[in-house]
Amino acid sequence: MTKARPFSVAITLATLLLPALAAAQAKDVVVGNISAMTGPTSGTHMMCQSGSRDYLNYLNETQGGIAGKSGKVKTRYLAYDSQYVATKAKDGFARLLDQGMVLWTQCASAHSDALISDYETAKVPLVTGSQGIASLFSDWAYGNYHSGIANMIRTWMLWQKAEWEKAGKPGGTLVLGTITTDEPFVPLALWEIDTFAKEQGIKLVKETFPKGTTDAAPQLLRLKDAGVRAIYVVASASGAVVALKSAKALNLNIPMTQCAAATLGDVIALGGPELAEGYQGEYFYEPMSKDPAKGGSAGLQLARDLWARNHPKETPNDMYVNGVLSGMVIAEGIRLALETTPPDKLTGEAIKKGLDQVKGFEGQGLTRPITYVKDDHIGSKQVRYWVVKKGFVEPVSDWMATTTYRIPKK
Amino acid sequence: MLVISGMMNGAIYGLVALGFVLVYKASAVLNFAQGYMLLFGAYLFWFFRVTVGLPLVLAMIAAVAAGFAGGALIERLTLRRLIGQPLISMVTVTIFLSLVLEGLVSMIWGTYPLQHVAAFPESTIRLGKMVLTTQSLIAFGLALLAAGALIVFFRFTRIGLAMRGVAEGHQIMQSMGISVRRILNVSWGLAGVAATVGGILLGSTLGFQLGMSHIGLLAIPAAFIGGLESPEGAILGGLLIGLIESIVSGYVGNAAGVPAAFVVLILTMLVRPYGFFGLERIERV
Amino acid sequence: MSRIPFYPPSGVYSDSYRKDMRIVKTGKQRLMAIAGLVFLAALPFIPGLNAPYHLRLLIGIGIAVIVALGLNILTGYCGQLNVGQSAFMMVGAFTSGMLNAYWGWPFWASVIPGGLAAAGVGVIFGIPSVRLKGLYLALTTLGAQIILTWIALYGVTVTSAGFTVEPVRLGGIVFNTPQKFYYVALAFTLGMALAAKNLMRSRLGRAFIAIRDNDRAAEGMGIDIFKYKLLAFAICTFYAGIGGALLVHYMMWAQLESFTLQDSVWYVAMIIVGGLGSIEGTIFGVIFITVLKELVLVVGPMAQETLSFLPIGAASGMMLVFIGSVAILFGVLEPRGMAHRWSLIKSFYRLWPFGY
Repeated sequence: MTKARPFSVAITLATLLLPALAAAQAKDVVVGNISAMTGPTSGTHMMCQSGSRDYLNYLNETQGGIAGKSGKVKTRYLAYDSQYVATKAKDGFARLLDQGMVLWTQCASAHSDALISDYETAKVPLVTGSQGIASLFSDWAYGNYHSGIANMIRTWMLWQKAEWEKAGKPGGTLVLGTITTDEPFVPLALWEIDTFAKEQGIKLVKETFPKGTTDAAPQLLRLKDAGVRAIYVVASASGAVVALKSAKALNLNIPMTQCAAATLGDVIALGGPELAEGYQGEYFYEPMSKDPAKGGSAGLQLARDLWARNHPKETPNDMYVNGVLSGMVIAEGIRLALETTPPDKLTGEAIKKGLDQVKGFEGQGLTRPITYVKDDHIGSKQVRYWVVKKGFVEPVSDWMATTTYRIPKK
Repeated sequence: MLVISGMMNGAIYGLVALGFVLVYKASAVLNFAQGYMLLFGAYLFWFFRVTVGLPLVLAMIAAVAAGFAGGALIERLTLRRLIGQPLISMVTVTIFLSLVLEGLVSMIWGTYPLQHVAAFPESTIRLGKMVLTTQSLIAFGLALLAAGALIVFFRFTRIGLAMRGVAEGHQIMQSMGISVRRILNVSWGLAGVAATVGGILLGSTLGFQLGMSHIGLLAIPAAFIGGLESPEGAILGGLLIGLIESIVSGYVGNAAGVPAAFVVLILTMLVRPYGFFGLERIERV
Repeated sequence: MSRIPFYPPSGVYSDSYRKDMRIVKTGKQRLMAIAGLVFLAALPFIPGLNAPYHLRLLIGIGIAVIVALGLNILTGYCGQLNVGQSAFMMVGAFTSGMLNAYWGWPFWASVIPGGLAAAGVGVIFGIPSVRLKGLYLALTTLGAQIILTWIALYGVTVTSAGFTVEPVRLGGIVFNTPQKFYYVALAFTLGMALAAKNLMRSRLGRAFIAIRDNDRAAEGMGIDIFKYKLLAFAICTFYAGIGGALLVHYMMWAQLESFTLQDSVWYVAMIIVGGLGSIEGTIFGVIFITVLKELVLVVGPMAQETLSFLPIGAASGMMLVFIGSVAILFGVLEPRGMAHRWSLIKSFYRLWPFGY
């Protein structure tokens, strides 16, 4: 029975030594990633992480790193598993800082909020493809897309309103519905939405069903009784599958749209192409779920190649493209910083200066032009709606400007 | 309609709750890993169906058999060594077991959801104004079938009776010439089977992904309200919980169903501390 | 729980109960205790150990120790299972955080109300313990977790979104870095641990133990079971509330995600691994589990790069399997918890080389 003790001692020692070991190598630009690598959210987080990691490694391998006028650097990608808990994310941030991180990226909106004070004090800029609200407030955060989580449904409502007006305003007033799970991000996504609906003259009916159950029929029935014209689904992919199944069982026939908490690709994988047929969703980049036969931008082709090279046995997913795009923005920021700063002086501040100069960057056609100006690090602020057809997605709207509502700071 | 959809959902709760009851009956342990056993069972089915490419029925049989073996193996490797130790340390072991199972799943299949597999025909049946999916009907039928089989098993078979005895006390049964080890082994195996069946059903509804294990928590009240010792109680408890959730969600909204189910439960337990079908224990000082 | 008696060196006698119950019995023990305190106090200045990451881990351990101590008083001493501890922590966290963020109360004024609010809620959920026992009682506390989380998510708008909280201040010092907050956490942890140790060797602690061992018999001895059970719930959740209040002022951010059912289950695991009904055991258990969990968070991502041929996420999965197996192995080898091993080691040291 005495065996147990040396064992635990060894483990304790091992963790204490780890940071020392990892800090030993230097000189490369250290890019940190903090996301959930275990637990239920890890699927999408890992996709996103692999995308940026694979892209930066690809630059290291094929071009020897990132080059600017004053020199060339390689990047080193370090990750920490936050298990989607803000406390752990903060621990991870401290750890990555110890290891020389000068720039970081993540996938979970919760972390960016809790970590604001940390990355502002440490002067380490954040590049993210998530819809966190914090990126709006911090001078050190750079998004590549949306004006924040509360704008997902707002933008969708405006789109629906435009379509409804085009159709000649049937019914007199526009009635829209939203069905959500009880996941923690949902209240943020629906922040003050009733006020917005009133301003727009839209009647919005809201329903919620608990995460993990297999049935959303009661909620959908109430939406149907309210006479909604379309339904917005604020849930992760498994919630969306439940909603779709229930809608099918009820023979609902009301168009449904997925919010950006999950991609259409996730829903196709999880529920099967048959169930997802006709489901709509939003992307701020060109998704990998697009039919490869129909081609795509150079950026999408690159993402597909990277996937095939690094993960040959697995099914591709859209969040990977999101990660690749974050990697591209990171590389562009470093490149611009290298125009004026020599590689050995690449601090977080220097890279921030590089990011501030990003202008009209399209990620090889993956997204609409990203330009960062003072007080606006949101990115393209454009989104496009897609629909599932035979297991692939195709665009159902043109690129649209997103709304720019800001959740008050406190 | 609310009633029907709640019952269908409740049937799956009931199946998962059965797993809790099976383990509790034999070893008086609340198995925190039940949800993860379900996850593992579901992925096993996916493996036999997609990777091996077996026909549907064969894949199910293989998965269920593997689920039994898996459950029995878990007992053999971990809980077997804890016979006679405080019960609470067995409970902890099940907590850690859930880590191992989640880890195994992500090690073998990765963390990203697997490709969809339709285990059951995805057609709908209309009964007047109501619409039912074949899937939920099958789930419903399976849950009832499983409960019925277990009731018969516990009442009328030698090993089933021995299991009930083992729950009363390991030493007494041991001295009566019944192998506690074998009984525990079989009951964990059966819990594995219940988990696998639940996993297949849930996987074909929710998709195959790590979040599936969450149902393990949602089903706990079902196991309690029926009484932890009673298979029929588990199924009825599942249906009841499903019903409460669906009706409260339907009329109150805001996902109030789950907390409401708990409020009802706590109040119920104050009146009937051992659930509706549990064994009342008379304590002596 | 069987106890290994303490064997004092010859020449040290306890001629009264008071002496027998002392925490520090010999001069050597006093010396070691002082040395330990000095080491802990000097830690932020010891190179190699004072990286912010290490200190953050230690602060995390400190807060978890406070929360787990409360749980051990309820579960280990009084025998009432609680699988909703992190929800009570949340009550304390949000109470203290909102008092601070919306009414401007400083940490020192809001930490006790945080603890009291948690205790109040805890007592309400403790009422069913009059009739419920064992695993059935676990259901009530599980219900507390679900219901309280639901209230935080839908009942109160601020708690659903999360909000910023001011750091701890004392005089002119702002405890906003790990180096500084470390001392706040250290002071609270030591104070709360000492309080727990003392409470548990008083009449109260003995009443709890009597209830745990056999509540009918305890009642026969004139202990008001209902009152003491509720008291145990109050103490347990008070500790949770204090831990929660510390956490939000340390993070300077209050959010729902830090208080999940998973966390509650982990607290139970910590006290069982450490040793039920043991204050030292609680500390060991927290350290053991925290270090194991940290291994997943650190080594998993590091292995991911080298194991890229495996499916995405497989490396972290491997770490889960590893720590899960280590913990199971530990549970199998040491079912009575680390505190049991600790007392075996102490008596071995004391009696060596004639340990018979």
